[in-house]
This record gives sequence, structure tokens and C-alpha cells, in this order.
Amino acid sequence: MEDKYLELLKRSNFEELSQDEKEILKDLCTNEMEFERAKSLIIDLDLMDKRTTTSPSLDVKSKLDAEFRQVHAGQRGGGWFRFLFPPLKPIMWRPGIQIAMLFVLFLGSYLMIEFIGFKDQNTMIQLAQEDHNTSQEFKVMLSDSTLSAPTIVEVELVEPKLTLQDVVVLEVNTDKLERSLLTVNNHNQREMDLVSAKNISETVASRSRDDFEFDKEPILLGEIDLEIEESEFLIPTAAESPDLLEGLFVTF
Amino acid sequence: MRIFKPQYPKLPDEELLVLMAKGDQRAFDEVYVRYSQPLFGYFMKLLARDKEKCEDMVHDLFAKIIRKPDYFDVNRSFRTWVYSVASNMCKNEYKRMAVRKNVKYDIEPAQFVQSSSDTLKTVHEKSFSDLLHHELSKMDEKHKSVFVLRHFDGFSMKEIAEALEINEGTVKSRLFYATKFLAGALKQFNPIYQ
Repeated sequence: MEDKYLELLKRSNFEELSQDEKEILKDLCTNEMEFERAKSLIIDLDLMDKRTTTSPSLDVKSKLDAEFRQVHAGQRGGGWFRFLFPPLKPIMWRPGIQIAMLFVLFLGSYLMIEFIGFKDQNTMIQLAQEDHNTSQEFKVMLSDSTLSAPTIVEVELVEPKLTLQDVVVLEVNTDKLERSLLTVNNHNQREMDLVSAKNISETVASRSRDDFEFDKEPILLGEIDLEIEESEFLIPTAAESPDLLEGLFVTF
Repeated sequence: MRIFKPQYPKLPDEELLVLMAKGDQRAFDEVYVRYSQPLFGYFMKLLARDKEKCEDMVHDLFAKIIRKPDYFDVNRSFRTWVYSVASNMCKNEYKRMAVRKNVKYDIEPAQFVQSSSDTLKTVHEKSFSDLLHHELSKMDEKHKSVFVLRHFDGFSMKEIAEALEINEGTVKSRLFYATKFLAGALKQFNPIYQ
């Protein structure tokens, strides 16, 4: 297609050209005179082309041969290097580069497993634990001597920030509820500590008060009418006031 | 691994370049045989037929290939690549000549038509060749380069576009311009006007 103009110039006369053919040649010749000039030039070029055979002198070749030997003499003995980094191959296809990439890949994987992997695992465990804590329902079995069947007290954690460390779960026996201690610290941040004095008094004593800090609302203990004092108060025993246990449903 | 030695004349240019880069002297010889003459002719046409300069250019070009075979882009054809290098060398030479302001446009004695017969035809061809080169030397480099690649080195328009890193439309436009210019300048060789 691209040589169409050459064919037209060699074989045709301007008069014989169709409109389409003239369109092809319009940039080259627009009239018969220009057409004939171009035609003559192309024919003479074809004739001349076969006769112009020139070569550089032999001296050029001998210089280049010497240069070739000099360049490649220095490369002898570097067999491994030339195997790993052969010239004229795309960089990514060179064995040396590929081996280096594999090394980096393995090293990177090892480092990930060693450091980042463990961190991730720990984080995942921690997250799972927190998730577990927030959705957990705490059941407090109260086996009051006055009750025929044990009453289930469900404590549902609403606050997502609560963790197992923050709330001490009480499995309360009414016999041991005589001196249950619920500490509510309602200072600036309206904090509350829920403590079972008998079962975990030792634990409470050992823990700092900061461990039981809450950011938000204090825990409400359902319909139990607690008189909140500044530091601590006594919960009357179930035996003294059994009505406290009716519909006892504590929600945080 | 090759069991038999390669048949160098049958190998494609790109494979020869790979062998050459590994230090194969015969591959280099084959590349030189294939390209020294066309490249020399190309330089001769573009550089006002200064033979010594053209030989130096051929030497420099092959020396580049020997020393830095990595310069060859394996994704390209060697033929177009080597001509693009040659074209760039010519451009640089033009710039140098422009700086020196000693560009020679005079016709030197023709050295490449070695015909024993002294017929009218030979004289015609010789004088045509001389005048063609003279007129070529008057043209600017970009038109001359396209014309030489098309009519002397047999490049297609696509190959010229690739070698000179221009689009095909530009190649066509330059080629027609150069042809028209030369056809006008060499009109005395047209039998109609004789």
C-alpha cells in the first residue's frame, strides 16, 4: 500500500491515472510535468542503486577486529559472571537478577514470619478476647437459702470497653453475701468498682483502683435500689430483704 | 546448548548480536559484512561524501556495538536500531559542522562508479549520481535521511518511522517533499526535457 505511489509512477502516465490515484499522488505531483519529473527520478534511482557499491576500507575492519579482541579478551575467565549477567538479555531475564529476587523474597518472607506474623497473631488473639468479653453474658448464680430454686442473675455487658479485667464476675452464694462490697468510685470520671468482698477481697486489695476505671456511664444494677455513697456501702443480705431479689436483672 | 556450530549467514541479526556480545568473532564478522557497506553508503550520502569521515563514522558505530552491546534494544529490529544510531550520529555531525561553519557542499570527484566502459549510458548515470548527491547535500538532514533510507537502503515507511522515531505520516510527507525537490532539481535527466 505504501509503495503504491512508486508503482503508479513507474507504470502509469498521468493521463491514465484515476481520480483516486491522483489523490494518492497529490502531495507529490499535481500535473503531468511534475509527474514526469518524479517518474524519471524514480527510474534513474532504481538504475543507479544497483551500481553504487561502496565499502569502507579494510583498515576499518582490522581496527574493529583488534578492538573486538581487546574487549572480549578481558571477559575471558568471567564465565560465571557472564552466565549470571549475560548481555543483551532483558534485566528481569538475567539469572543473576532472578536469583537475587528469589533471595529477597525468601528473606522478606522470613522476616515477616519472624516479626510481623507474631505481632499479628497476638493482636488477633487480643481482639478475639475483647470481642468475646463484650458479648459475654455473665450469669450470677444466687443460691439463697430462702429460695427454693437458684435464681439466675444475668449481667449483660453493654459497654464495649469493658474487658474481663474490668469486671469481676461474681458467683455469689447468698450465704457469703453478707458482706459483699460494691465500690463505686464516682469521682470526675464517674467510675465504679464492683467488688465481691469475700471471694476476691484479696484480689481487690492487690489491684490498683485504676484497673477498674470506666470512661462512661456507671454500671446500673437493674432495679436494685442502691444508695451510692462516696466510697463503699453494704448490700443487705437477701435474708434481710428478699424483695431485692425479685426480678433482679442487672444491666450494665 | 548448541551441538553444531551456527550457520552464521542464516542467523537473524538479533541472534548474531547475542553471539557477538558473548565474544563470537565470526558473528561480528557476519554483522560487519551485512551492515558495513549499507551504513557506509548511508553516511556517504548524508555527510557530503566525505570518505574519511564516513569511515570514521562506520568505525565508531561498530565500536559502540562491540563495547556496549547492551545499548541494543532487544525489542527492536537490529536493522532499524542500527540506522537510528547512524541517523543520530549524522545529526550530531551536522551540529558539529554547523558550529565549525565549514560544511562542504562542493561535489568531490566521484569514487564509487568504477565502470570500464565509457558509454553514453555510463556517463549519464555518473552525472546523474553526481548531481543527485549534490542536490541531496543541499537538502536538510531530516528530508535527506528519509529519502536515503527509502530509496538507497530499501526501508519501508514503517521502518523509517521506527528508525527515525517519527510517525509514518511525517515520513510520507518528508519523502514526497524530498522526491519533489529532487525531481525538480534533476529535471534535465528527464528525456522529455533533453
